[in-house]
Amino acid sequence: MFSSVIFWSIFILGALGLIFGISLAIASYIFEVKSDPKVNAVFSVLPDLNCGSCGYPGCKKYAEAVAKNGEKVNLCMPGGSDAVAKIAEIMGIEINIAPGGKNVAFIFCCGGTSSKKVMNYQGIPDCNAAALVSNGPLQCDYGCMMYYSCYKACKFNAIKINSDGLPEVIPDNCTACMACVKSCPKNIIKLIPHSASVFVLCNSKDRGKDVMDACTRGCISCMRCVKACPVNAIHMDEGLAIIDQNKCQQCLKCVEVCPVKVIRTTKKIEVDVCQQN
Amino acid sequence: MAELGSILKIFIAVVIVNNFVLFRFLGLCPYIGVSRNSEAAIGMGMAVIFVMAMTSAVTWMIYNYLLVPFHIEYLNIIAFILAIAALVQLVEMIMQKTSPALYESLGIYLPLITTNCAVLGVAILNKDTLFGHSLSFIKCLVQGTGAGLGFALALFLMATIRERLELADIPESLKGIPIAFITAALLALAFLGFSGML
Repeated sequence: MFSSVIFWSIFILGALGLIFGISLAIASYIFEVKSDPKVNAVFSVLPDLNCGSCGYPGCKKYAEAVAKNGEKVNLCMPGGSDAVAKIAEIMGIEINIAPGGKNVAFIFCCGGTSSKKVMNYQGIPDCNAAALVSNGPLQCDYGCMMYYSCYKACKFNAIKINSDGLPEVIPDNCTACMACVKSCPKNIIKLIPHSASVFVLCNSKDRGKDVMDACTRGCISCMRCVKACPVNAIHMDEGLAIIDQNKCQQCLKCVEVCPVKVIRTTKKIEVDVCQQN
Repeated sequence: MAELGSILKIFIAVVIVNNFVLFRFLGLCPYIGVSRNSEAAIGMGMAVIFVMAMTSAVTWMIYNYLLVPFHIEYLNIIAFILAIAALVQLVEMIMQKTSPALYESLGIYLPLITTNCAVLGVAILNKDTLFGHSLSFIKCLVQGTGAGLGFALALFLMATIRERLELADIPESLKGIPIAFITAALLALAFLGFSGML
C-alpha cells in the first residue's frame, strides 16, 4: 500500500508535468506569432538609450511605430543622421539628410557673474522655481540664472559647469535628447548642428540700452556683425543677432567687429571661456 | 430547485460576503499593486475572473480523475500549481494568436496571476468545501467565477477610491501607500457588514 502511493505520486505528477510540458511546446509551435522582422531591424539600428525624445516610451516602441504604423523615420535625436539613414534604408524610404551630421544642444548666454542681479533669491536652487519669483533674480529677463536645471536634467554627462559658473554643453557627449532644452525656463538652450562653430552668445531681445544696463556681455543690436558678414549669414531678430549656420563660412569677421564680444567661436570658448571682457 | 438555490447562495457568498480580498485576505499583492488607476484594475480583474473560472474547471478534473482514483489526494497543492501555471501560459499563447486586441489589454496581467495565491486559494477552497457534493463541477465553476468577480469588484472599488485620493488633501506622512492601506482596512470593515446576509 505504502509503496504504491509513492509510485503513483511519482507517476501521476511526472505524467502531468510531461503532458503539460509537451502540450505547451506543441502549442508554442501552433500559436507562434511571427514578429515583424522589420521591427527588430529598425530596433537594432536605434541607439537603445530609451531617452524618449521621439515621443515614444523607449526605442522598442518607436521601432514598432516606424515598422508598423509608418511613423516618421527622423524622430530619433540621439541616433542622428546615421540612424535616420539606416532606418530609411530598412523601410525603403528615400530621404535627404542635411549636411552637418548630428545636432547638439548649445547654451546661448555668457552673462554669468557679469549679469546684474536685482535681488537675492534664496529659494529652491532650481531654475524653474527661481523663474517663478518675478522672472528670476537677474535684471536681464533672458539670461542664465545659474541654478543648473539643465545640468541636473542631462542624463548623458554632456553638461559641465565651466570656470565662470555657467553650464556648458560638451558636444561630443550630447545626444540632442532635448532634456536640457525642456528644463530651461528661459529657453536659452537651442539645438545647433554639430559642425557650427560661430555663435552669438546672448539670448536677450531687449533694446541695446536695456541690455547694456543689465549685463556687460549682451548683444546690443548694433548691427556691425550684420554689415561685416560677407555672405549675409547674420540677421537681426527682435534686437538679437542670429547666425544662419547653414550659410556661415566661418570667416570670423563678425567675431572681430563685435564691440561687446558676444560673438565667439568654439575654439575660443574652449580656450578662454567667456573671459574676454 | 434546491440545487439552483444553493448555487445562487454560493455565488453571492463568494462575491460579496466572503470576498476573497476583503474577507479572506488573499491576493493582496495585486490588490495594492494594480489599484493605481481604474483602467488597469479592470484589465487585471477580467484576467483574474477568466483564470479563476478556468482553474476551477481544470483542478476539479485533475482532482477527481487523477488524484482520487490513485489515493494521492495529499498532492493536491503541487498538482494544482502545476495545472494553473501551464494553463495560464497556454491561455496567453492562444490569446496572443487569436485575439491580439484582448492580449494587448490583458496580456501584461496574465503572467502576474500565474502564481497568485488567490487563484490557488479558489482551487483549494473548492476542494475543501464543494468536492463530493452533488453538481460539484458546476458549483466549483460558479465559485471560481464568483471569486474572480469579487476580486475584480474589490480591485475596481479600491482603484476608483485611490484615483480620488490622488487629488485629496492628505497629511504628508500618509500620502501614497499608507492611505491605501487605511482605505483597504475601511473597505474590509464595510464588507464585514454583509456577513449576516446568508
